[in-house]
Amino acid sequence: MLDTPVTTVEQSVSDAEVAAANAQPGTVPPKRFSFFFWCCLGWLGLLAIVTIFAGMLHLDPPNAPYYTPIATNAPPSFAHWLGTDDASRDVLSRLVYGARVSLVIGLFGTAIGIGIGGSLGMFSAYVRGKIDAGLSFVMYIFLAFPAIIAVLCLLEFWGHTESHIVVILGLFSVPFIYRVTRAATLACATKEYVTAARSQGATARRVLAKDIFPNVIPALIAYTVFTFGGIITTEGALGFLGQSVQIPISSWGNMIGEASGDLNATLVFILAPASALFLTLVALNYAGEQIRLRFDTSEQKL
Amino acid sequence: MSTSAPDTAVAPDTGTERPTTGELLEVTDLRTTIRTSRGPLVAVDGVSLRLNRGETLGIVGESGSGKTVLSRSIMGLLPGRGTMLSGSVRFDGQELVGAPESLLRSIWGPRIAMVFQDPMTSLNPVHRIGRQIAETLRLHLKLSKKVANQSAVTLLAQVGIPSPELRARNYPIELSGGMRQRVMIAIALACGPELLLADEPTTGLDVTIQAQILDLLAEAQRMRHMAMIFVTHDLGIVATRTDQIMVMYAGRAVEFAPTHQLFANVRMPYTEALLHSTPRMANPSHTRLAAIDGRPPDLVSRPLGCSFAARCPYAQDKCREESPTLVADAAEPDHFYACWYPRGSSTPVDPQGAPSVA
Repeated sequence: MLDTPVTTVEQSVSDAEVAAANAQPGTVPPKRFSFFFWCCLGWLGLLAIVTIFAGMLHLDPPNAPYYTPIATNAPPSFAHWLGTDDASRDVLSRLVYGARVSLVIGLFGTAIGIGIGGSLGMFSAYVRGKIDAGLSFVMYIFLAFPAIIAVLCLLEFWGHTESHIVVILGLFSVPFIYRVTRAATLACATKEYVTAARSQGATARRVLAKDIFPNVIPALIAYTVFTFGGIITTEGALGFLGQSVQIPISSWGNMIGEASGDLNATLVFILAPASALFLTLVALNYAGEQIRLRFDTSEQKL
Repeated sequence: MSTSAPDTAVAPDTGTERPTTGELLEVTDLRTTIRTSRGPLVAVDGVSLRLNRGETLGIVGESGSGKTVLSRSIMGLLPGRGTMLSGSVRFDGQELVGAPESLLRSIWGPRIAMVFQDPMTSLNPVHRIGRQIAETLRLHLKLSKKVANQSAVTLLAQVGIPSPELRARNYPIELSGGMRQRVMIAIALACGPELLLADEPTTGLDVTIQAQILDLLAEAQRMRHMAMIFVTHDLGIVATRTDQIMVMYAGRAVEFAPTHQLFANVRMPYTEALLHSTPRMANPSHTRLAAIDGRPPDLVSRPLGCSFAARCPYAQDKCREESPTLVADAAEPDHFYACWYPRGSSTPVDPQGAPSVA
């Protein structure tokens, strides 16, 4: 049994046959992403391109009133595809630059949340003991606090700039991500393969990085997307209340808020940012879920 | 199939400068205490044993008798929190109890390795199996990625996995239980350990695969002059494959003897009861399997006297009051047992065939 296997032509042929036979019955054929998934990805890609290259799109300036000719609350036309708002600003332009605000806040806020919450959660679950108990206690206090009120207070205190909003929304997503990561890590750390890795002389850092982290990723991906959507929504809510970035800078939220004064005149001005927000959230959640399912190598699938 | 030279790529130090005889492991009065919410639980209570290079020790006992904790305690592989180890484990002259984690880590893998009970959960689901084997080689033997991957394929071939190059690219989920256990053995053997701890390596497998895995382990042991501690609850498995057997009950060694002596002359009633609860081909169909009534004692509040007294058919008053210590048999100085009223030599039990007990 321990002899060197002899290399022969027959063997390599039979290897191929074995592989072919194995591929047939039990294994699931690689799943293909649905058309809808690609639509979602397309929308997100379009958003990304548009927000990154907004400056090159020859849009009218989003924040300066478009004066010649003066057109307040103008309906959509070839000059202004989505019309102009009550201060004669081009709505399409504001929508694009508003996407920039929403996406940047969502992206960096999520990065802060995942970075801090994820690493704290894994650390806490791996060391356990008093450190874990203390950290979890702090996180639960955070969770118990009505986040939107805290965010409103802090912004009032600090000023409504984009970077403050990013930091505050990011920090308030930490406890959720901490909780998910900690639970996933705990489930992982008690598995036999972690003990097996230790029994082969792996250090704690190695075990965390190579054995636990890859198993936490699926849960984290799903939650990343969820958090991203959550932060965009919260930013929208803040904008609607006029507490996000300040007018004349546009965000989807404050566009909806501004236009909500007179629905008869400005239905399209609400529909445009609202549907952008809606589509983005649907795309994020659907694509995130599909990606998570695709990379879910856990046993439960079979 | 790769044409890499397997014997040079894998375990370069196997059998070269390493002695093949002599004492390898000496455990003295090992005690493992686990802190629980109800108080300290003594999972291993003063176990001593010796093992020479190339020999096999079987540790037998029912679930909860402390066999697994013992094997992990020998290695020092315990969850750090709330577990205390005392006594002494000398491995090749080196004290392991109380040794710094860094020293243990340098021993785990290249010198002592472990095969785990459940092959379904002891492989990481997210990594290809080839990588999991190569990982150990790269960590300890500092092999390059390419050489380590080749060695992993060779090791897979050595543990009897067909078309190892293809299998190395598989995820654990794509393999059967027996195949996974072979992979686990390949990982354990990767760095050429001197001592292999096999913790119920065949419990999760069906019977035909069990025999294959046992043969594989025996073969690997013979080729590598490796000592092995084989933990199991099945006396039938250890009967033909071990040099010595330790029977454990409630965290203590209750009988310890060379294998042939143990089966020829069972002294401890617990060992006898274990033997009687093994199914036999010679029994008529639908024979009710003899089970040991009751359960092992609570190790947090251990009863006075012999731990087995409550379940022992021969127990007398003395058994319930005083705890017996491990003593050597008068006729066989290698045969130890802990019992006030040991079974006489009139009840020899043949582990393979029909019981010769009336």
